[in-house]
Amino acid sequence: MEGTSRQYPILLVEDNEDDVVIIRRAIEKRGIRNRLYVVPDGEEALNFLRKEGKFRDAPRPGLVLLDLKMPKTDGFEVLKQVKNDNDLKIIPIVILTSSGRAEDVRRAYTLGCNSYLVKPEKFEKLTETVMEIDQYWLKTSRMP
Amino acid sequence: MDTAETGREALEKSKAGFYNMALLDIKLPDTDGTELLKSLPKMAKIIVTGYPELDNAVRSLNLGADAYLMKPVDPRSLLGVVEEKLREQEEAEKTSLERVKNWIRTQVERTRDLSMRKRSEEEMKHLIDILDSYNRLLQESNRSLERANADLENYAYAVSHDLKAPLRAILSFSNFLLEDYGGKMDATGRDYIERIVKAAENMNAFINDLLILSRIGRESNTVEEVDLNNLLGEIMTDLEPLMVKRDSHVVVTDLPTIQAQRTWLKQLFTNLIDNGLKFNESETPRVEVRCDEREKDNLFAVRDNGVGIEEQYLCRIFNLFERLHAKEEYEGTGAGLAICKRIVENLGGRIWVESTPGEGSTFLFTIPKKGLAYEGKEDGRNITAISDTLSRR
Repeated sequence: MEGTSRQYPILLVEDNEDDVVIIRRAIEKRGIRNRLYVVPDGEEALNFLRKEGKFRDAPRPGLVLLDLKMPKTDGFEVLKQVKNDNDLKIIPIVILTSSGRAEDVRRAYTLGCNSYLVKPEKFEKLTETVMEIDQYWLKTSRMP
Repeated sequence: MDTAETGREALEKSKAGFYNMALLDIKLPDTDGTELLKSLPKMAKIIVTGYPELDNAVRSLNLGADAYLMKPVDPRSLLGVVEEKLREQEEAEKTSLERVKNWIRTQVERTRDLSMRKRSEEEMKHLIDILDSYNRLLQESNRSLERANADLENYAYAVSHDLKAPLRAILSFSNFLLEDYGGKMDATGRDYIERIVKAAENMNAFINDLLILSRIGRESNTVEEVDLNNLLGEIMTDLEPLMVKRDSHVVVTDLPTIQAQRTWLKQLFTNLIDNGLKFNESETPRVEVRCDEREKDNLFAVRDNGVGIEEQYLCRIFNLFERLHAKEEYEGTGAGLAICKRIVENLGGRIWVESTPGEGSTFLFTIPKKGLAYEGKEDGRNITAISDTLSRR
């Protein structure tokens, strides 16, 4: 399928290194071959997306997996800035966080996230979650 | 000291001046001394006479004489009588003075009482002011309590987030080890890793239960119409894997639709049914759920044919993390019934258990009908009522 998001890289914004390894493994287990970039906080995520500083040559991701609770600039702030940026706002952002708090879910959707997923406690569940992301955002959705 | 020759003179003199005492002879030129006793104004009256007749003496004393002395008068006895009378008078005056003093004192006190009452009205107002400010304090502390509750909820979330992240790592990496390197390990190595997984899973369940407990009554879940038949169907679907495994049966007799938070009702029934099936050594574990509609509430009963509970433990089973069985015997965190209790009490009801060891247990709980659920929650208003009553006085 020409023009699908298969070729786009994925940006994972996650400060917990364990979670990075776990998510990366889940993605690999699902056979997803999209290139995965990882940044540890919101500030670097924004720099990456805006191709600023050391990310001057960064590719434009086709999907952002965003944690909410992070040092410095948190996920909400990243979401807000991206969705207020005419150039960046069409990039789908999937929240992948351990907080299932209704308040957080509401706030994230209000700020314009495309999907909200709670990190499962078990790895098998996480692979299912990744599969859902893959099915919906990487295979089904057409990117502009 | 004055003298009068006749009765008339005596009367005139007594009217003109003040005398403490009169010494009277009976035989006077114009009158009888005993007659004078009647006419003279109030004073001590002593008859001094040469007539020793008893009837004269009796008459005199009856008419108000204070003493009756015989002539020739012994000056010492006269002096004695006079002194005594004067002393008596003095005493009487003192007494009346005392009476006046007392009267004045009473008046003063009565006046003081009046002013006291006035003052106590002021004090009452002051008291009402104090009560009002206590009220405000109470409202303020209510607000800060709400804030503290919100803080606690945030805290619970932060703790759970922070505790769960490393747990997720422990679980995940243990499983990765088993998956990738399980084949290279001997049985003991694999057993160790499985123990790590098990412990982490238990801790995870623990944290989840604590979170549930902390959320009951604080999280503003919306109260909705809940069809319990529908809800129980949902729960049975969830429990199906467990039921199929042991040929268990859950029998639900027609249940009402009630007003409550669906999430908590589901938690409540799930915990009770799950317990009934779990603590059960019967060939065919069985749990019955039924409801008696009563005037003010619904009485629910969840009955099982499980292991039952010894009488001495009946009061303890609703305590947090109270376990009656070894961890190896039955799985669970020990928070299940504490959660049930908090849910029921939050709905304004009561939960208790009846049990026969070896035969089974029946968990009973009430849920007040709509409008009765939050009766006991207006303590804060009682103070206002008191203060209002006071200010109306």
